[in-house]
Amino acid sequence: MYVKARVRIWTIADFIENPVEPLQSLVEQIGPRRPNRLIETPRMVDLTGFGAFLQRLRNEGMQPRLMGEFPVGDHPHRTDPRQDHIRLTT
Amino acid sequence: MTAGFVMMCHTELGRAAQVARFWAKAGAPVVVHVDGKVGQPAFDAFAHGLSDLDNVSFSRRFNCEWGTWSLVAAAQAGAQQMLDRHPQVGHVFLASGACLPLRPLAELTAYLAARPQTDFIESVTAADVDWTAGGLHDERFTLHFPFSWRRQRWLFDRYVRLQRRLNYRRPVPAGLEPHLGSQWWCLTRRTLTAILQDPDRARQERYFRGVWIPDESYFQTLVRRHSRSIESRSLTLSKFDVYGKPHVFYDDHLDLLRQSDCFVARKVWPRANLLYRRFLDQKIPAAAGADPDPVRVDRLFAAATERRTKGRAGLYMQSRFPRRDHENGKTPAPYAVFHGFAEVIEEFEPWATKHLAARVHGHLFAPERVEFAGGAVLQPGCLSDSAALRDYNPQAFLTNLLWNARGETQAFQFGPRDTQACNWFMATDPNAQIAVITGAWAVPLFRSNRDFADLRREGLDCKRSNWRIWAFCARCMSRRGCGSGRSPISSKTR
Repeated sequence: MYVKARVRIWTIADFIENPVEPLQSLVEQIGPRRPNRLIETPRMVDLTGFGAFLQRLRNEGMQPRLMGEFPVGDHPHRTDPRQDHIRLTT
Repeated sequence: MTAGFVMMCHTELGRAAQVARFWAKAGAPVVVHVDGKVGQPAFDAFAHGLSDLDNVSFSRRFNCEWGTWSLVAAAQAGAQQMLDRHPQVGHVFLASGACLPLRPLAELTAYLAARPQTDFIESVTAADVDWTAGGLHDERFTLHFPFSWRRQRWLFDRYVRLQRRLNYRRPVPAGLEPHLGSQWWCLTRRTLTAILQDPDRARQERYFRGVWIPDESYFQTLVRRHSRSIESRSLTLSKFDVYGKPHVFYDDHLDLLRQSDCFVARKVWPRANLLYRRFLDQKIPAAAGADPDPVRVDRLFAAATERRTKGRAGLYMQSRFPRRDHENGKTPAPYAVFHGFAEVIEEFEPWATKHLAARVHGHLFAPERVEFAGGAVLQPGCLSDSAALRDYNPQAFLTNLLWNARGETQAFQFGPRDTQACNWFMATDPNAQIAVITGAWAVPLFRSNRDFADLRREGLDCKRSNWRIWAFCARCMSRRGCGSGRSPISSKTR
């Protein structure tokens, strides 16, 4: 027995960087409720300071894994999607 | 020329009498063999009921046991009596008491008259047979079977095993090539006479007495010696289930049987009143001149057999509970699992509900309660939102939900806090569409704005979440590349 599920994995850093593509692939796979409509991209959680937070966790001796590359600095990470809408290719 | 019927009866003599009367009144002679085990009073009543028909006669009675020579002996005696007493008979049709004629006799007679030299008997070389249930094919012809399979199964099996171990093989008489087939045949007078008057008959009989289930091989083998023209198929429609037992036809099969255009069907449930009434009513015309066409019946029964042996994808039931990892599909339909999306996206569930053609649940495996879509307490099939009930058998919970909701794609959130019991099940299920954002578990912690003394206390939680997500991803990706083609722990390289 081996894996047969359709599995897709993104780190949170990658996802935040560009959420449109992953979301688009989800909508395309599951199917849109109303076809031929633009789908607005959902609002991301504000992750300003998340990198610093992770660093503080590390400083406290914990080890958060699988985060991807989050800058430690205080400058806000990009949270607004580059596109406002998901366009379905199919 | 007409057809003559040899009927082998052992139970339900009332129905057998109806059928014998149907053929006899239409002008076909009938020879009835009644099993020797039927008591004399029952036999007398049966014979008396048919005494007004002068073309019905009774042959010498043998005590018949399934799978033994007695059945062949009874058929031989009946056939001989038919040939001796009714010179006008061109074809002899072997039928059972549970057979039901589906078409008027005149149509069968016309069909046979157009093929006066043809023997209708299924006859397949033993090596090519794949329908035998029980695993004995050509060994039927090369081993001894002194014990009854029905009553002395233990001895039967041991004796077969012993002969196999000793590599024992009984010689097949020269000139015989073993063939198998349905025991319900229709042979020409010429071929049947040749078989019964074979100069070698005594030796053949000695041999076939020791063959297992000779009623499926005696005539089928000898016809290859004597026939000029064999149609290797039975004019009797009969189906067998996966255990090698004959299927029984009921009233529900009326249309199916009518459309089959077969002449005779077996075996029919004795209390299928509708079938007997409909097919024994001479006044209703049938499809004149049509060739028997059991394809539809074959297809339907093949589908039924497949459904029975394989079951429905994603249906688990007490009567056929599939072995783990050998199901015919673990779940009935595709479903989506979102790991980490609700943490990273504001209002993800409402968004997904609005835009995805799916029923979007919350964390179905949350420790407090099952978060059904819309906060529902119950789902179809009376699935409750109780976490305790769900955790009693999480996998059955998931398969029940998916089965009951067939027709609507199900989607749910999943995370490290949730019951993890179904991970392997989902990872090995082709219907599962799993999307994971790793690291998202830390976002609620980050947003809680609690001071670090608290968070430290949750350090264990952090460790557990790390591990659980890593384990989940590892499961999902084990022995195969995942969608993104990267290991879950390697960071993005650009």
